Amino acid sequence: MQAELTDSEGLERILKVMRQTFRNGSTIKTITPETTADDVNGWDSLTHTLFIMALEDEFAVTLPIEATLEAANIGDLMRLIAAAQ
Amino acid sequence: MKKVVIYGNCQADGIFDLLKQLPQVTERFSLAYHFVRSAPEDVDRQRQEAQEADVLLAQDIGDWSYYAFRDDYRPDTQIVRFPFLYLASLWPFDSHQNPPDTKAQAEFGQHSPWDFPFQDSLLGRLRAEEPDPERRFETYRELTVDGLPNLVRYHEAETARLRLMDRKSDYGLGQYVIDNFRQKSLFHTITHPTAHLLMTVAARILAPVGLELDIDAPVSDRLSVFQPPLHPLVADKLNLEWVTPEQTYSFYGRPVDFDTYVRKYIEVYG
Repeated sequence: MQAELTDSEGLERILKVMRQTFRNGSTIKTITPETTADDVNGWDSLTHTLFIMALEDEFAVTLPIEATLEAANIGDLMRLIAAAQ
Repeated sequence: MKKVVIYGNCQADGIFDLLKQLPQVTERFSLAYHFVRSAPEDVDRQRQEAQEADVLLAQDIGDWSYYAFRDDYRPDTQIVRFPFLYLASLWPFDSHQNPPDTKAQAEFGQHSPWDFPFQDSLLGRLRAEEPDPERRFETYRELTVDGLPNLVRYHEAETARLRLMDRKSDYGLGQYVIDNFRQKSLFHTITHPTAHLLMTVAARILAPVGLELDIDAPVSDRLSVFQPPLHPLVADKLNLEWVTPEQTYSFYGRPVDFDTYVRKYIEVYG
């Protein structure tokens, strides 16, 4: 399962969620596992929780919130999603 | 007299405003406030304030890394960090944490005295999905629309965030919010705590400086001037005891209830 989420399909689904969730989300062109909140316009402490809620809906999982807050980048979030599936 | 600089966003400014009102503070401390970004005309004065400060009360926000005067403080300046407090689950559709209502955002300032500084993302979305104003109001009132966050789950996540915040600071302010938000209003808006909560923050962060604040001291609550109403279904789901069916909120000093506020938003922004 984790292998599926490290591929481009997993990234594409996360990118879709980001575009729907963040201010100016439509301007986000691409993400990689190394992408951090600092790299994404609109991904901040206020928007993080709803982003995680949207990821839970997209992947039909329940994520450990504190771990998502300490995730360093998209790759960490992908691992949390994979572990929750 | 000790010199204190308070650094941070509007919440830090709110603490500054409250502390200025307290003789027990102003008799012992001179106070200065530094916003996250300095206006050019303030740079020289603020640099001097930083160089002379005995105490820096610094809000723990991302902008801290860009604070222009960080390196101007003396090594012996006492630095007290305090958190940025909010409980976003109280206003789940606010534009601060959602895609903006771009029409309302663009027209802000054009509809005085009915300008809405806190725009509503869901009402913006429904403008396209439900053209009839009354049906749009009902849809928003009952939240009969797809794609909304689970309000209870969202609050669970916000609670977890506050608990994590507490583990990284010494003041237990997240737990204070968790323990009290159902019994009393702690926030006027998503980013504006009440004077009571700001006094609680001030009392806890000033204790290490040797000051015991009376959090019930009478103060003017400047941030109370604008209060976006809480959605009744949010109040219900989160069991907010202080929100009554007749609850009114301040719209620049005018009391408005939830229905009036939402209908006016729809009327103003179409």
